[in-house]
Amino acid sequence: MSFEVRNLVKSYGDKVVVDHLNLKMDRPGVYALLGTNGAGKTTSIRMILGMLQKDSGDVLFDGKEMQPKQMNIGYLAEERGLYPKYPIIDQLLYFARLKGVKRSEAMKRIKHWSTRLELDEYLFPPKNSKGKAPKPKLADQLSKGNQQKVQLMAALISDPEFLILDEPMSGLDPVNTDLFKEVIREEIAKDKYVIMSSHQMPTVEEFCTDITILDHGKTVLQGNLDEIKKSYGRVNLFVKCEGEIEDLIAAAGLPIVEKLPSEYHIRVTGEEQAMQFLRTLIDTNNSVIGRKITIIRFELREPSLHEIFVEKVGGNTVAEEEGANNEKE
Amino acid sequence: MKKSEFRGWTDVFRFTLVETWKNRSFLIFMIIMWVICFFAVPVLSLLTGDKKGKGDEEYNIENATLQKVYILDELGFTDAGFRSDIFKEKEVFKDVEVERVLYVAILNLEGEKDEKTYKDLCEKVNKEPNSAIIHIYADLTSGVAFDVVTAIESKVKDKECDYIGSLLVKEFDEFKYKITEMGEEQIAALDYKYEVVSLMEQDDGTFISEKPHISEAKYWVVYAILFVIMMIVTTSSSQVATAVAMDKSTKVMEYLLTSIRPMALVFGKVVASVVSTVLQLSVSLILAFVSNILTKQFTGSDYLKTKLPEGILSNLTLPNLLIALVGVACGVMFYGFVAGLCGAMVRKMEEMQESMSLLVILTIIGAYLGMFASMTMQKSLTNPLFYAAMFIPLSAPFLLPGVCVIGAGPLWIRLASLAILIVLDVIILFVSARVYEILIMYNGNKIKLKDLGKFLKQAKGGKTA
Repeated sequence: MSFEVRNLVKSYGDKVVVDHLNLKMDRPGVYALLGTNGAGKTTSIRMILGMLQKDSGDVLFDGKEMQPKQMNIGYLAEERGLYPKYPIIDQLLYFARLKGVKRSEAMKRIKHWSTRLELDEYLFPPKNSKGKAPKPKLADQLSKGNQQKVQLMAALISDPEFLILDEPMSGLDPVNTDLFKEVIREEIAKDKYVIMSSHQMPTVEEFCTDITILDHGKTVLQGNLDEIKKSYGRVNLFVKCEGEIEDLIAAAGLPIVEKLPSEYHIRVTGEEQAMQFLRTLIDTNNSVIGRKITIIRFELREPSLHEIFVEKVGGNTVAEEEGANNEKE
Repeated sequence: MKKSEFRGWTDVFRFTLVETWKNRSFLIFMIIMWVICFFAVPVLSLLTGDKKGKGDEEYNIENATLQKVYILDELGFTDAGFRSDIFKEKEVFKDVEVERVLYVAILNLEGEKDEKTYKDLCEKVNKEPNSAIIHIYADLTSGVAFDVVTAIESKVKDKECDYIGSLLVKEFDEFKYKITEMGEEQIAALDYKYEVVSLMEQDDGTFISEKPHISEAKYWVVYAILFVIMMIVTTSSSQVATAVAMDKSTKVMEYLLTSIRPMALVFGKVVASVVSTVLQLSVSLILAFVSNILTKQFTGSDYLKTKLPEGILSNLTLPNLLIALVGVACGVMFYGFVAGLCGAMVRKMEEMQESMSLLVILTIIGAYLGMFASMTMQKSLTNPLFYAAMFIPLSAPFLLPGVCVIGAGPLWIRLASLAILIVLDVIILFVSARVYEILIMYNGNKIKLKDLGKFLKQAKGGKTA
């Protein structure tokens, strides 16, 4: 089975918000759809899910036109939504029913996920001292993080074969972030097709094998994450020393990407230039009287996804924010 | 429109209905409404003191304190066969002594009636605490009067006097027919319903009603039904609009639309709202009828029957009832779909009131058109306003059910009106299906009424916003 998006286009008036998007997953795994706010990620996801009508293009699953309403798809939307004044358990049963899960099975799954996501005290509160069951909790009685857990439950309650996670970790505390990561890992292990959209680049690096970066609806970078990184080469040099070295960096003609309190992030052309700078540091320490440079860290590595992302779309951030506003209009 | 457009609407229907009825404020409103319906009849019956048709047992007199009755018949009915001592036929009054007092009409010098006989009799009764006077006389304002008079300090109970009074009135009704020497059939014929119809002769010699119209009583029935339907439409459509707006503003819509189409979502909510409102109304009506039956058991008075004009529902046949019910359902659905559109225009709940203006305007136009048309029905059933209101889908939901209940006008008008409503419901369902797709996911600038036209045009062209 494979999942493929071919030449997906969507316009609002004269503005093209998704411009010939192509992506392909030949096997189960996690695909990252990245971009700044308003780049067209959510619009693409909505078209994939059949919520929005596409202007042109194809969304194929197993080589055929994908029928999202007839498939078992789990969706965690970026803008979380629960009925604030309805009992949580009723809402989960309703969502399960819409996905074709029978009530008894849905209750079993709610119980499972409630325990897994540590929500038992809200969904199945213990009876009080008089043996009476307390009133069912309403959504607005839960914290934001717990509401997010309930929504993850809603996305997973039908045991979907295809999962779309739009900003799954946003707004979570570190403990719950780890919990979400564990659950997502479990789902990936079940050989599911997952599309993830996130602004947290370390999270994307942790889960995704393939990425697409969108900018103004256009694909600016696409491919296997490891290969993309390799193509950039090892150009990031991190140097931490005891003793000031800024004059030596300047003398070597290396640009400083970022200056941290006790560390420099320097851009080099490759391994050779880095080694040359290392020799300069050692020679300075040995030959210049009265100057002691102790090297604590000297690391040469590929660019992070964050750096690649910023390089590709960073200059357009302001314009994209405006684009996002226009899209809404 | 494909069948798949509606897949899942039953789940939406069930959830919306259950959650609506679980809502505390809704339940409180319901209970108050039902309590009012249940207790309105006995309370009104008590307040209006309606004793019409009170049976003998209701007076519940075990031992009469009355021992003597003086009968002063100024009109001489007793001599003509009126049984002024009819109360003696009752077990409880059989031992009461009756004395007929001779009444002589004397006029004084000013030409006024001499009250001496009556005053003398009153003095006598004042001295005898267990006696009473039956005074039969002509009153210029109320006609024939039967007064049962006792002294202020009398030992005779009020209910004994009331009972004797009611027996005399009943006897007088029979006496009137007896003195005319009419037969039983003729007397029965006096109770027949009658109607005055002006007829116009046609060329073929047959007659038609010159100006068919409805009575004032029937107008009030149409008006009352119109008012009830307006309440149903207002309540149910605002429920639909709120439910759609809540889905959209809380972003639950995002999740729901992964499983179902917008049409199924709104259709489920509209049907849930219709069922909820009709159920609400039906229970209220059933409670009112049960209450009337129970009240009748205690008071002997059928309150609703005494208040409703006789024969008002004689034309409520099964076909008419069915047309009325389907008409109500179609009307509520029509306004429900409009409400769904209004709800879909909302981005935040704060915008709800503004977005409802389309619905409010249409409801007001429809209801007022129906009201004016029902007024003209008193003059004629062939006037253009009546036809217009029956055929315009805005007003038809308000007018059609009332017209069916009283059976006014020819059947074809009612059927045509219903057919137009059904066709319109199908059309609005079709158009809504496309417009909802656009509006439900729309979170751009605030949508104004004039923008709706633009969306309708886009929907027609198959484009999205």
